[in-house]
Order: sequence, then structure tokens, then C-alpha cells
Amino acid sequence: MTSQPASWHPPRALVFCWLGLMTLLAITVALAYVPLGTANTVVALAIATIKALLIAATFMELRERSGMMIAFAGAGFFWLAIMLWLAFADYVTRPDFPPPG
Amino acid sequence: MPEAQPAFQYVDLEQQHGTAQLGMWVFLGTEVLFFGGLILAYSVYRYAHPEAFAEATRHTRIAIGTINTAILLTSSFLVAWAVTLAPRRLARATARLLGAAAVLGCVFLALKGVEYWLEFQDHLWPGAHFVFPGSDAQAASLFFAFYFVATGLHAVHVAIGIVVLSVIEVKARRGNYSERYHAPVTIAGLYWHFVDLVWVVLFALIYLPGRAG
Repeated sequence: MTSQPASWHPPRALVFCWLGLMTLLAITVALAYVPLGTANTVVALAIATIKALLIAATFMELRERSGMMIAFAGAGFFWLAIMLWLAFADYVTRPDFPPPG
Repeated sequence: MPEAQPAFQYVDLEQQHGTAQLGMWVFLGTEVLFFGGLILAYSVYRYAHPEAFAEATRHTRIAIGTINTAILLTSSFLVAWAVTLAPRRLARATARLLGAAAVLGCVFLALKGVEYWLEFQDHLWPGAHFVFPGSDAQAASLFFAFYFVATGLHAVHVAIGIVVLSVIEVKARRGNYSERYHAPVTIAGLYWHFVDLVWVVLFALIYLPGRAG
């Protein structure tokens, strides 16, 4: 960045992030009413993930942080992903392995 | 105002600031797993009862949910903005932005309260007086149990965030923060953004499913 904006103005990245988040909110609500079958869930979760990443990268300033800080920030989500994965490995495959008797 | 000094175990304030941020992320990691347990329970029950969950989610008030999402996203923007002003000694502007974000947090809670009140009127509180017009009232009551626990815990986090932002606002107004010392503003901001992030996920799980059916 070569030129600083007037002292109290918000940085451009924050304004674009906020506008992006509001646009994504409008899109996700509109798409929720379009019949897409199971894709509705995929779209809703994908947009929620993009919004969460925008918040983490820009509002929480992770894009300016070191790899170690990002690793700490991602750790909780990493373990949560393992918990969801193992739990669903059980529930999704249960019908294939009925209890004996 | 005397210049802030680092605590004895730190080389300088910059190192102290970095450590404070790292500590906040560790705390937020525990919060991810705290809300993660609830989301796992939701996912398992939604997988088991997809139709009942779609019917139940249709009974949530998406207009209030959407407005509340916009309110939290905007308050997060104001806090992120305040975090950039605090190191530049713009004390009054920093305090005003934090105050505005706290007010938006209060509006969020007020709207949430209206929503709860309407749901009590509709007998959607799980228990003896639960009334659901759909085919599988028992599975629907599982959704509403998740709904009230998850949004209730989130509301507690919002309330704590409002108190934290207000305290930092007062300190900012007093001119406590400078280029060298502004870690509390950053840390409070991280907490508020996390509460926003949790809501973004809850919004997708609570309000959006079952609308197209």
C-alpha cells in the first residue's frame, strides 16, 4: 500500500468484505427457495463456509498472520472435522451392518 | 496516561500482543468444539429424520433470522474497523464504533427475544405443551430442542460480547490504547467475530433448510 486513506476511513478490504458478506447472505436466502433437491443443503453449507472464511481472513485478520497463528486458528476446525467424519462413518454405514440376531 | 509496559515475562509489548492473540485462538478452538458437539447432534438427527427436520425448519422465522444475520455481520464490520483505528490513537472514533457494534448486539438480542416469544405462542418449545402440525412431532421437537439450546447458548455469547465491547469502549474513550498497546481491542474483536461466525453457520442449519419443498 503506497497511499494511506484519510485517517478514520475503514480500509477498503473491510468494506469489500462486508459488502461481499451481505451479498452472499442475499444469495443464500434466495437460493434456499429454489428447488434443487439435496443440492440445497450443499449450496447453503458452501455459502456459509465462504462467509466464515471471509470473516476469518479479513475481519479476524488471519490473512496478515503467521502460519503458526493460522494453525492455531484451524486446529479446532480440524478436530471437529475428524469428529464429524468418524461419527458419520458410523451412522451412514449402520444399515449395512445390522446387529446379529 | 503513562505508557503501557509489557508484563515481566515478555521482551516487549509486541510479543505480548502476539501471545495474547495466540491465547485467544486457543480459547476459540475450545469454542469450536463446544458448538461442534451441538452441530454433530443436529447432523445425526437431521440425517435420521430428513423430512421432519425440513418441516420443522420451515416453522422458523427466516425474516427475523436474515435481519439478525445482517445486523451481526454489520456489527462485526464496525468492530474490525475499530481495530484498525485503535493503534492510530483515534480514541473517540474507536469508542464510537465499538459502542455502535454493542448497540447492534442489543438489537440482535431484542429481535431474538421477539422470535422466542412468537415461538412460545406457537407452542414450539419442546416439552409437555409442544404442538406440531406435521407428521412426526417427536422428530420436530428434536429440532426445536437443538434450536433453543444452540441459539440460547449463542445469545449468551452475544450478551458477554456486548459487555466486553462496552468495557473496551470506555477504555478506548479514556485514551488507553496506542500504537504500542492495543491488544485488548484486537482480542475483544476476535471474540466478537467468532460469535458472528458461529451465527453464520447456525443460520444455514436453522433457517435455510426445507424452504424449497
